[in-house]
Amino acid sequence: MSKEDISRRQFLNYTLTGVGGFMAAGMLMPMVRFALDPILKEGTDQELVAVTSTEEIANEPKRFDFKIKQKDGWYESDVTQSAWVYKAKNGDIIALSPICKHLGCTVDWNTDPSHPNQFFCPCHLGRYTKDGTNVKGTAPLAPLDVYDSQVKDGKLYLGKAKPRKGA
Amino acid sequence: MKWKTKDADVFLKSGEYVDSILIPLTPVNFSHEFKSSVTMSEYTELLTSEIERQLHGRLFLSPNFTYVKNESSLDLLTSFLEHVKNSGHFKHIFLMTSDVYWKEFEQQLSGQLFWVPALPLETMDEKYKLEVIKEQVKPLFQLIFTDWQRSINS
Repeated sequence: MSKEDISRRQFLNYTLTGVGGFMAAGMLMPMVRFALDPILKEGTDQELVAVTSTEEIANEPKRFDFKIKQKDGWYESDVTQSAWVYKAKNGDIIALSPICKHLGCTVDWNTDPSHPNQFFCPCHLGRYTKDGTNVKGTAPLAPLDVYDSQVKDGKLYLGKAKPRKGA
Repeated sequence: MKWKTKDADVFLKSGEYVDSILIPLTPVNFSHEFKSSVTMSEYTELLTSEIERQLHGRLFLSPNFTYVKNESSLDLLTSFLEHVKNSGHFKHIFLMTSDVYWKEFEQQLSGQLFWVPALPLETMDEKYKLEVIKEQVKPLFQLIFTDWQRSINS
């Protein structure tokens, strides 16, 4: 059995490339990570927040308030948001954003005596039907946003409010 | 709308829809009334920001009118209100404070004064706090809506 010989020169070559390689990797890794970072970042979709138990949801829209964390630069704050939630005829739970599509007031359900069973915006008398469609001839030009929603363990979770196409 | 550049742009574009302004009056005092002036300011800010949230499209939330209480505070506020009025943007001027000081000048101010005594919310549970604020602003909405209604009818 002959022991393979390794020359001093070879040995030094191997160790130096090895150590040099590690050092180069140590320098390159953060650079590569920086370059790839935007791809690796998870979607900025807002996390789902538990709002209420499904038992409290009726056929009549009811307002629920919940808090989300909002990031503004380094400053994180709790922001109160509301949702009008009701059960549609086919059993689906619908969560509408109460933000009027006109200029952003908060709409109310069934508060205009001359137009019952509609969402009503007190600021510029905008109106929406129960499914959030804007009534033609009133100020808003688009239907109310709909929240991403999910029911899990008897609780309603809401995510981001998404806009819909205008009527 | 708030005193923010983003809202300012909207205001410049659709200013004709924004005809109301809400001005929080918040006292500053670093001596014997320190804590109470902080409580009052905080409470007023909570109420005004909730009102702004709900009436975002028609009501402009002014930056706080912050004052050190002395004989010139009334003059300062009067000239501030004068400026607001002369800008021509706002038909409805609402003032909100927890400081009882302004109550006696109510008639001299060109704007409707909401005086709501401050509640010590600091010890309150977060969820309960929301409820309280919601209840507190309800009658204020009524006052604002009545004022808006009046201008339609007249």
